[in-house]
Amino acid sequence: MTEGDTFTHEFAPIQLPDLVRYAGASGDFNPSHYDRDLAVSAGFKTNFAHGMFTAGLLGVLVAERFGPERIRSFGVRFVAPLWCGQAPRAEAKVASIRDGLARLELRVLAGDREVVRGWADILTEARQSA
Amino acid sequence: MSLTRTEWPLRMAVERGKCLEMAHALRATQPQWFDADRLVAIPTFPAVLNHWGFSGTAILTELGCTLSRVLHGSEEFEYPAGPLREGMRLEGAIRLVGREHKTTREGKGMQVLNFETELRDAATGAVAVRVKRTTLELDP
Repeated sequence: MTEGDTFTHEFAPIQLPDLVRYAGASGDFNPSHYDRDLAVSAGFKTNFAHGMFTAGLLGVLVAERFGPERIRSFGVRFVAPLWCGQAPRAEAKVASIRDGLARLELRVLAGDREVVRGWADILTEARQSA
Repeated sequence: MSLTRTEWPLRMAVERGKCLEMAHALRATQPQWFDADRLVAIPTFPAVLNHWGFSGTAILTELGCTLSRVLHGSEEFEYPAGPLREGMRLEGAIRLVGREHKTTREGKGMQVLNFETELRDAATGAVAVRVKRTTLELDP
């Protein structure tokens, strides 16, 4: 891993069963995530992913790339809804490496629209094995 | 409005079934999540606190927020000693550490609530995870 490294990942489209499954797993049953009619009546274009669903996809992606034992912190800011049916794309960049920690800058996009911005601090391989 | 409380003590366990369920729900692919004697929990695992009686929406309702105007602003996780693992029992509390009204540059008002959760490994007393959450309640 070196500063400036990047990687991307294209997720398959988010469909209603994904959001129902996540609602059950997490216990977040806000109906705006799985009830399209209710979401529309509340003023949304359609139902949309739980923010923590999108954050969770990103977290798993980072963990599978670098190993979960190397993650020391992970954070996200929710910028815009990820609508049901959209296929998100994740982008990651190694922004810096200092004192055995690599700072990743992360974001998730739907088309050209940013929906989540995030970061992760990852132990470098050298520090992990020290 | 006066607050009734700003701290919600909690206990939870990192259960194998819930580790599997969250990993499947978040499209995980590697064996560490599914096929190990002691599974690793995915990085956003503390989201399952909803199932332990500490739903974010329940706390917001207790604090007098109108849920239809609430947005999730941000979430951060800190793992000082590595990931949560199956079998850990965690103890700690969710704390409301900040509550203020702000106005955006566009003139929109909102209440900003900041929560911090610290969970310790009941077996060792060491901090297992810290979670920071920002919740926004838009003005009517």
